[in-house]
Amino acid sequence: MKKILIVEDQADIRKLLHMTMEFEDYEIHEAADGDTALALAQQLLPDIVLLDVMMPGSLNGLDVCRRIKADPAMRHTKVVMLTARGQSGDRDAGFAAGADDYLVKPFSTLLVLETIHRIEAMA
Amino acid sequence: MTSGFSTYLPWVGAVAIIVIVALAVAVWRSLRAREAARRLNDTAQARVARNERELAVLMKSVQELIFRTDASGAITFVNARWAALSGTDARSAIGRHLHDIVETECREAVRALFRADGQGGVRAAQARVRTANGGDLLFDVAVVPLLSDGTVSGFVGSAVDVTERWVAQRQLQAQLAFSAQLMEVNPLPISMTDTRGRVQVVNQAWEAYEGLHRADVVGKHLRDILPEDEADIHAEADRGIVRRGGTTQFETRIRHGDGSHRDMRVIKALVPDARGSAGGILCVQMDISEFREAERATQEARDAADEAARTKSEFVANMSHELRTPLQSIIGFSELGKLRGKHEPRLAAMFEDIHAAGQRMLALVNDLLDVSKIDSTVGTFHLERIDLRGLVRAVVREIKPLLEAKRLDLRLRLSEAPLLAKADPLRFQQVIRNVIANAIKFSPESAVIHVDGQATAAGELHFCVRDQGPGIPESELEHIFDAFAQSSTTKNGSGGTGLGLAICRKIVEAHDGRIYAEAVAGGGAAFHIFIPTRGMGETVWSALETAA
Repeated sequence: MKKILIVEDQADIRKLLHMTMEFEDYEIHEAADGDTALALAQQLLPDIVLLDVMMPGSLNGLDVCRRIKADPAMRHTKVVMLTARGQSGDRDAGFAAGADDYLVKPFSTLLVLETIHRIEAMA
Repeated sequence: MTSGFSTYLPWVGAVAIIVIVALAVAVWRSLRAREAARRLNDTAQARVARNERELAVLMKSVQELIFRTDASGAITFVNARWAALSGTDARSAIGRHLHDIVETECREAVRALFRADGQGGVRAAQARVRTANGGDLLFDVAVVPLLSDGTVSGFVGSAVDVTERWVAQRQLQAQLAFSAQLMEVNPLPISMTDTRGRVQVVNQAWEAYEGLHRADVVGKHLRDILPEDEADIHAEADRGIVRRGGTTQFETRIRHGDGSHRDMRVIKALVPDARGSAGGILCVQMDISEFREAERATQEARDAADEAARTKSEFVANMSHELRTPLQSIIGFSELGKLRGKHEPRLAAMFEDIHAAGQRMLALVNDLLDVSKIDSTVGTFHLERIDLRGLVRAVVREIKPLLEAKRLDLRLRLSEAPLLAKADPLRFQQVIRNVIANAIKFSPESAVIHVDGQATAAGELHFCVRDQGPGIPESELEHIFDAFAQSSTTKNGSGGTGLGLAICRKIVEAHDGRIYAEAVAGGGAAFHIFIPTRGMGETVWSALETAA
């Protein structure tokens, strides 16, 4: 069973993402800030991380993404950035940090599933 | 007797011959002497005649008027110059007095030339004469009394026409007076110093500005009348200008006469003297404090406006972000509810409504963000020289599914030649997309939409999108470009945010173009977009500017 880590400071969006995937065959974990997310990721070595960009704490989404991508233990981990900022500059920053895909809020839950399936297919 | 007579006869003959010869010699000699005398006489007469001719020519050729008078000053002789000057025959001058000929104001001076009491020697005066044609001539008159036995028997004199010099002098005086007046009425403080910094001339504005009177400064050194730092500034500039010549300009802060400090622009010029070497330094000062102050105020206002625009766009960006988070929940959960409520149609329909409302709100948030962005950051438009035909075609391709859904026929007609303009490709496409999307939205099924793009004779690119929809009432043609305004004929069910055309207009205006709507005869609306074409020169210039 694939491990998915949801990193999002807004509880209702965490819940939305959880509900979106609850009928799929995933082991779902959640984190509410960057530091917790990194610690959890290093421990779980998830297959997919849904990662919010703007979060409280010392690490934002881009920092977490860079560290996950720099960790040899997580070479298989795919990162999908979730952000409310859709400008091309932000998108570029996300890909520069090593993100595999990028979803702009507010996103369709169907699109989230499509994106995850596409990334799985790529892996 | 005969023999005696005969004896005397040869003697008589001999004596007679001798007498005859002697007589002949005497006559011949006398004739020769008379001939020599006559010849001498002729030569002398010829010389006199030649001298007289030469003198007459000389008298005629001199530019001066030469005259002789009797003891009372009545003219007895004038040379030919008289005729040239007066236009009357020289004979008409005889018997007249010079003081009757000259103008009133010099009459006394001229009369004094001919006074009988004085000693020998040259007497001089200046006299103005009005000529027959009304012009003025000025003469320098010189007169010498002729003395015989110690009494004045007459005068000889000459008069030189100095009119030209006099006129030139008068003009020069007028010019000098004009220059002086120009300097006096000039509102800028002006001063003239010699090359060693001693004041020669100042004007009224200078007196008022420095709070000093000219009587107290002329002849004095600048360092004795101005504060030390100001005098130093002048001294340094003067040294430079004496060395290099020409003019110099600089800006400085100078103490005003009233004690305040002012921003001054100082212009100095080296003034040559009559010999062409450095004669003095002209200094014009201009108080630019008010300009500087206005500049500072303008800059501050600009900074404040920039700051306000930045704050506003930051605020809108934050708002938009803050609104997106709850919208994520509304849109996301309603979507999930819709999908999972299939077996409960009434619930599914409610989720559907929530979802649609969420999508609409999202569109509003996006448009608001867009408006704010265009308002505050027209500068971030990435203008490039581009063929707009390609941009229009791309939009038409991308929008095809919408056309097919309503079985619409979009007829695209673009100029054969490239439609080059300086435009932001994404923004221009946004306009075309918006206008075509409107046309699609309001077209009835199976209608035709015309999209044309041509260059106009006036050097603009003209794009027109024409539909067969309900059209726009005349009174609303302008209004629909206002934010949140929608045409009354299409308001219901348009699904738009009311910002689309407002955004289009902002974008087109940022391209120095214009967009307007028009009612089409027989129904439907036409949207016209004009974008200026840019000459190559301007493009190069813009590129240079960007590089700078």
